[in-house]
Parts: sequence; structure tokens; C-alpha cells
Amino acid sequence: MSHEVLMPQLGMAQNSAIIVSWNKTVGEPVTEGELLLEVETDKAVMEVESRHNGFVTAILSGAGSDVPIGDVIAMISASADDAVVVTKQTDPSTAAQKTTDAAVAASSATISIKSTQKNNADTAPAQTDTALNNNHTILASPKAKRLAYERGVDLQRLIESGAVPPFHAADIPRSSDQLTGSDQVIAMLQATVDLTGIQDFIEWSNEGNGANKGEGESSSSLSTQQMLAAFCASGMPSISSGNGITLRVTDHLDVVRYWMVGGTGLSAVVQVDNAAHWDIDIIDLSQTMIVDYLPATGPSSITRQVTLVVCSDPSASQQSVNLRLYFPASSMSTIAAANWLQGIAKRCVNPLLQLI
Amino acid sequence: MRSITLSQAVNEAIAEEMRRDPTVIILGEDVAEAGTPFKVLSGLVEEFGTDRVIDTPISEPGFTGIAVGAAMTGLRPIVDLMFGDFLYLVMDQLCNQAAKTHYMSGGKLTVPMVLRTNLGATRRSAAQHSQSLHALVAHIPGLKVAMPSSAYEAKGLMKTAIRDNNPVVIFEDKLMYQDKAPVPEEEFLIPFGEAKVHQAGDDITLIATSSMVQVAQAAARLLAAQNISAEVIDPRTIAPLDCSTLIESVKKTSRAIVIDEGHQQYGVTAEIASVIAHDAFYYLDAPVHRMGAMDVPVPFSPVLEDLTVPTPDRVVEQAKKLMRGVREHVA
Repeated sequence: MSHEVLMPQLGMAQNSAIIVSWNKTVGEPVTEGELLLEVETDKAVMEVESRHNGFVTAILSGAGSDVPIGDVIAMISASADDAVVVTKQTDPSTAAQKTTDAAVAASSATISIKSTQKNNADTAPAQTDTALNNNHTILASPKAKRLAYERGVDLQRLIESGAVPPFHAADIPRSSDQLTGSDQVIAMLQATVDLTGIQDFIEWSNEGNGANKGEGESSSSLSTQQMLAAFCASGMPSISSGNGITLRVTDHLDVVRYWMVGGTGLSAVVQVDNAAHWDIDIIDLSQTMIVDYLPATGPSSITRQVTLVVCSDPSASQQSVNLRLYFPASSMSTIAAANWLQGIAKRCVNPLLQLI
Repeated sequence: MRSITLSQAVNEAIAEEMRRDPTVIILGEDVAEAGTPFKVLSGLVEEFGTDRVIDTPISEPGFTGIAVGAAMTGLRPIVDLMFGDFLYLVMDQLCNQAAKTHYMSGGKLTVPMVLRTNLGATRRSAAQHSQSLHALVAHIPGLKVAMPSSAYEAKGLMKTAIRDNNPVVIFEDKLMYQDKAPVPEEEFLIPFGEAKVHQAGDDITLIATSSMVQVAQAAARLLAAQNISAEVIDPRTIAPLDCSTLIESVKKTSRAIVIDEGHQQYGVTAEIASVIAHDAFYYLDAPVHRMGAMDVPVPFSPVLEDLTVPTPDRVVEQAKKLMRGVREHVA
């Protein structure tokens, strides 16, 4: 028996809300009325309590995500074994299934802090709290709370750094970077796919049956990489420019290629010599011994990069790879990212979908 | 610029307006030959005669009622109420008649009357001659309340009050009549509802009325010696109140102390503090602190009487607490 947790409507004229933090991690038990997460609307941070007893079996939107009202953001199930969404640290065997296994690696610092906070919480009934900080029990002046909010400073982390409340304006650091180094939250989704479909398609296409027939020498050698680029460009959310999508693909650790995708067809995927900017960074580790790569986080703009890591799945067959999509939680919602990755994975299994 | 006493400033203001406008008259006890117990009106009866400077019997409700009627029918009376404590005697004339006539007559009648009286303790006058009752009057819609803090304000506000078509109550601090301040010889008016920033500062806003402005200024000097920069603001009229100047100041300093000589409970300090707490809420780094007169009848004992009113030392003490962020307001 599972229950969906929906993003609640907390204000009259409100279309979406930003998840500030989760008070629970996947697998944790939760009781009805217990604080589940905190969301931010316009200017207020409000607490959302659980309406069910059970276990958190899925967190579908990480901290920092802007989620439309009514969207499913988590699942609560009667049994902890019902976990449909696993975090990165859990047993990799669940990733063997050919569905999109989503994982949300929200800022681990935030989560661990939230859980320690939970331990000493007085289990007061969750309530609508219009305080500006994300914990109404932390004493701070109105100005201090406003500055903390404006500067993205978590007062709980201020306490952990040794400061003693009540806080006043002088206690609030100029920015959250001063406190923690970075507030950037990178979320991760993973899908496991079998590439046999792509290889069969390339073989079939290069035999002269594909869409590229008669288009010249260069297009006759359709590659896995080119197809992956086309799949990635299809349905990518939050693309800023209308001039197509640029991808940087690195494989064999040091071979870098740039691809421009101007349309949906495979012929619209063109290799270019260089690019100053790319929308997606694809790192193909499938031909190496390296099994994963986590993009560095930090305040610089590079962390805003959407990165797709392709790596071999040691627990599965040779043709099976893991597609790991790392994206800043602020750049797109987890639901949108999951739909996107789902599309890529489905096309990898059945490339003909790209032609539809 | 020449300096004159507050008493002279009031006298000048009334004399100038009486010369300017023949409908201005004075009514009250001992206002003519005696020139009031504080000698504020000395010399006016000689210039304007007993038709315009009228000594009345000892009946505050009587002569205040006469003034209200005279105001309705075309004169601009100045009612002299010897002590602010006597306001209780004229409440119906002032609050039920003068304050409401313009409204209830549908604008057909006006009551351009000035009631000048006083406030202030520490004159050893005991509980019935030492009260500061301006909050009582400021509570009533339809009445304006001016509180001069120096000879300059006393003159400018009095002239504005006499020309105003609404009933205005002016409270002078009875201990300030001999205090001198620079007052221009040329004519000037001070508009109602415009606060004066006596001293600019960055760390804390001291909002003070009447003689408490002197207390605040003394406190600001003491604080400056301790590197705390205080801004001193005098609202000058508490009805109407210049909210925006107060709010802008507190947005800058993040802290405020409101100082007034009326009783603290339900007083002027409470009203001003609530305005700040509401409109500058997200800028406050400390609770707004109120300092009024102690909530007791003013003692006759000089030692005890001096304890009931705010002093510079006590303002400094509170200001330093607010600067340190002392958590006096949380459990």
C-alpha cells in the first residue's frame, strides 16, 4: 500500500513551490503529522507534514527543485521494502532492471543536518509557519532572518558552525558560500540500458537500409556516439537558446568531440570542430575501467552543466551500460529530468523511436 | 540668531497671530493681568485689551465650552488650560463637541480652536499637577496634538495651530518655559505631521517627544562617547504622526527606543512602537523598546518623583542592551 505525497497548495495565487529541505531520507520511517519537508513559496517557508504512517520509499524532487502544485514529490509505503526509487548508495542490483531507476542525491550535508535536527525535535505538530528561516525554533531577529533568507544562509548550519542563537544581523554571513563553500545541489538519475538495439540499428543502417542512404561518405558511418547525441537532444528540458543543442562528448578519457543537433532526425546531428559552450556534457566511460564520475560541485558556472555519464554495468551483461544523468537541482525539476532520461533510455533500447 | 525662552516664543507666536487676525482671542484663568502662573502671556492684555484676552471664572468646562461655541461662530479662540491635569474637566467639550462637530455637521461647522496646556513631572507639584496626558487626547479622532520640544518648535507649531481649522491641543513642558533656543525673528511656520531629525545616526533610533528630546539628545552624546551612533527624532506632532520618517530611520538603524513622558501603559510609546514593529518588521534587529513615565501616580517625594521619568542614563543603559542583542524578549 503506497501513498503519493503531492506538492501542496499553500497560497492562493501559487503555481509551484521550491523544496527547501527534506526532513526524511528514503527508507526512513515516518508517522502521520511528522515533519516531512519544508517548502518555500513567495517569501515564506512552510512545513509540510506527513499524512500517512509508513516509510519514505521515494523522494522524487530534491532540495532546490521548483515543483508545480499537485506533482508527486515522494512516496510513502507501508513497508520499507517497497522502495521504488533508490538512492545512489543502495544495492546496485536494483539498477539491473530496464526501467528508469531514479536516484536523487540532494545535498548530503543538508540531509544529514536535517536528520540530526529531527532527533532532538520536540515532535511538535507541524504547522504553517510564516517565519523566514527554515526552522521556526531557531531564535533570530526579524532582520537576521530576512538577511539569512536573502543570502541563502541556513540558520541550522550556522548553529553547527558554532554560533549561538539568538542571531542578530551581525551573525549572518555575507553568503552561504562563506559558511559551507557551496550550496549547489546536484541531483542524479540513473537508467540501465542494453545497447544491443543501437548496435543492431547501426549495422542495419550502414548496410544501406537507413535514413542516411545516399547522403555521402561522412554520414555513412553512423556511430553510437552520434545516436546518443541525437537521443540526448530530444526532449531536453530547459534549453535556453533556440539554435539547437550543443553537446561535448568525451570518450576513451581524452577523445573530445562536439556535436550540434539542429533537429530530431539523425541527419540533423553534425559534428563540429569546436564549441565555446555546450548544453550537455557526455562522458563515455564504457570503454574504460572507471565505473563512475561525479561532476565537481562549486560556485563556478561549470557546476550548472548537465552531465550524462555512460559507464559499464559490471553486474550485468557486456552490452548493458548505466546512463547517469547529473543535473543541478535548480536547472530542471526531477520529474522533467526523469522523463528526459526515460526518453533517452527507451531510444537506446529501440532506436526506431527516434524516427517517429 | 537670537535665542529666546520657550515662554517668550509662545508669547510671540500668539501676539503675532493676534495682530495678523482679529478673530484670535484668549480665554482662561489668570491670562490677563496675571499673564498665567508661568508668565507666558505677560503683556498681551496691554496690547490687545480685555475684550481679546479674557479672564474667566475658575470653571474649565465653562470657558472651554464657550470657546467651542465661539469657534463654531467665527472666532479663533485660544483656550488656556492652566495645568494639563485639568483636561479631565473639559473632556466633553473637547472630545465630544470640538472633535466631532465638523464631522457631525457634515462639514458645515468648524472648530478652529487651540487648547494650550502643559505636561511634565519633576516640578514637585504632586500627583494632580504633574501628569502628561497627551495620549488621552491623541486617542480621539478629530483632535490634533502638538508637542514642542524647544522654543523654536513652540513658536512654529503654535502659529500653525492657530491657523488650523481643526481643534488643536498643544502641550508645553512646564519645566521648559525658561529654556532658551535660537528662534528666527522673521515669521515661520512648522507644518503638522513632519518629524524633525535632530541628529543623524546609524546604530539606534531614539524617538522622543517634548522635553524627552533633550533626554534623548543627552543620551546620544553619552552613546557617541561609546562609539554608538544614535539618531534622534522628534515627531513634533503625535496626531498627525509622521510615520514614514520614523520607519525610514529604523530601517537604517534596525533598533529603536521610544521615549515619552506620558504613562507607559497604553501610551504614545506603544502607538509609535507598534507602527515601527509593523512597518519596519523585517529590518528590526532588536525589539522596539518603550520608555514612558512609570505607571504610578506621580509621587510628591522628590527622590521618588525623579525615579518615575526617563533619564539619559537609563536611555543609554537600554540602548546598550539593544546593541548587544540581549534576549530580553524570548523565553
